[in-house]
Amino acid sequence: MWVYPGATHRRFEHSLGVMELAGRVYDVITQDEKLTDSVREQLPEISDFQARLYWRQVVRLAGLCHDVGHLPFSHAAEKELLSGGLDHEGVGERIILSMEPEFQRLNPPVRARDVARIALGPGKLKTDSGEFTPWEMLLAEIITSDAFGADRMDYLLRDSHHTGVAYGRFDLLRLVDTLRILQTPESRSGPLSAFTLGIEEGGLQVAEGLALARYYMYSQVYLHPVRRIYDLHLQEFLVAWLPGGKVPVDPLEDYLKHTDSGVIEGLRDVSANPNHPGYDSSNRILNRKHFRLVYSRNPEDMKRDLEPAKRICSALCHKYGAHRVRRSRYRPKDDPTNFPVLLRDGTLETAMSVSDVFSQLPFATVDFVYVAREIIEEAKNWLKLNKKAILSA
Amino acid sequence: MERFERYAVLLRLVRRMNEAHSWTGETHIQKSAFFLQEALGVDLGYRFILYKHGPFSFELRNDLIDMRADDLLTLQVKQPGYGPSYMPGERAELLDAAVPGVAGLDGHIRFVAERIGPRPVAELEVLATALYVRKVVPETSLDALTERIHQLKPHIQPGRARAALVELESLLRATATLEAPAGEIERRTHELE
Repeated sequence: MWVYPGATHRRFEHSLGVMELAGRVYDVITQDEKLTDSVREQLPEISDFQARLYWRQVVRLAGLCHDVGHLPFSHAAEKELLSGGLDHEGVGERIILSMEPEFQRLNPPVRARDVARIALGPGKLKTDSGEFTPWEMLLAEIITSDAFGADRMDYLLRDSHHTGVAYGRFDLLRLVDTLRILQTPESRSGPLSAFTLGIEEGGLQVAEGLALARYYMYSQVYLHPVRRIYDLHLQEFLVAWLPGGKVPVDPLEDYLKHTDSGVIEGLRDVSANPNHPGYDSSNRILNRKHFRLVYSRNPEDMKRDLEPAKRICSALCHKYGAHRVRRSRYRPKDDPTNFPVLLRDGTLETAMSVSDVFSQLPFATVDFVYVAREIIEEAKNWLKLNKKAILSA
Repeated sequence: MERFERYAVLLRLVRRMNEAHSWTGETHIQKSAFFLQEALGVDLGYRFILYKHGPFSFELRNDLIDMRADDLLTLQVKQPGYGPSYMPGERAELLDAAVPGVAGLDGHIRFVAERIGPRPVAELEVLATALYVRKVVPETSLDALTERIHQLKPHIQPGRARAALVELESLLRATATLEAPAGEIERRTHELE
């Protein structure tokens, strides 16, 4: 909201959107006319009416609850601030499991464990080490898939709308209509298919639109340099403001008391108190005195050095003091290009082999170095004179 | 193991797998890295769970994506209809220069690249699942391990599971001839993470 003033939307409406979208995807991919004999045979739940109803409820609830463990201002805060070695998914799992009584009152009643497993997916659960069935792996993809997850599809469209950035749009309804349960490419050499979400050939262009929307939203909005430095300043504020620098995760009731409004109120209070350790960071946020961008990773420097931003950051710290320098690096964690496409002739191909867009889609990745605004001009000039020497050292 | 050390190991693994005519798809790399870590003791620090084609690490997946984003690895479609293959990227030589000490693990990496890498996915799934089960329940009989594999992966018939366990024992005996991995990988610069 400090970079895009219209972005006042909350996780709640996003969660409602994911719930709705996840239900629609479930309905489309389980339609009888979209199922092959292999799918029916190896995913028996899909042919059982009661089981289908049950798991539809689970998928919708998983969509609703998938982000329930996030801290206020979410990704800005998490890594350093959660106690007990947990991340937001671990906390989310606890919250979902604590809702068993509420889930049991639904019609049909639902097991909280099933909701947690589908909401978070394999590899993210902290307390549940049970192996995922093929059906559960597929259902988790409805929420979390890199290519077609309901989470991603909702936030791209929602964030695009609220920030006023047009790049994030794509034809959602058309895309959902073309989703299918398909065999993974690796399954072709074996006796048994593993399944994943893929698309019919008719949806390839809109899938490309989604992938490009994602790329542009990441490079223009989520990885905007000013947004990234505000994340860092907010994190610094929270470490200084929270007792012990951490958000307690036990009891859960205390964890759930932390809200966006509470943090904003804390920022205002602390910004008027020069003796508070969070004074500096709160004022940088509220009065737009954030650190300024002095270096950004670029192809030329990357040809010659493994991590040029790190060297630049070290050199600036040495010159101006670490308290006046910050670095923000983003490592992509998902690959939206890895999915199967069912061609009109009935054959399966990978997206990369039938689409130039997917075979050449770049990754949105950044590595920024910032300095305190008071020294930005001096630092820019100094870097201009010394960059070559720093990178060839 | 630090990030760039891990990446240097993965890069070398990809190279050796390419040389051994492995498909070098992500599944091949996942299973090869699993063997490198769990059978040969190279501590990559990955947590593996059982996923669609056997043991799988989401952290390893993230590392492969990061390496692609940094042009340390690249993907190439070798044959339509099948998954793409990993190759060294345009900046791979920068990583080679930064972590020369990974050459000390070459014997282990070659072992895995040549003995595990070239197999088809179906075979990798059975063999890697056998190792996974054996690690989780190490003191159990062959019959019990066979049954456990079949329980976890019902499409793997007991006969196939047993054969994989027997072959696994043979592979593990062969690893005994390798020298233990070096304690630390030499890095060119102390500035690497």
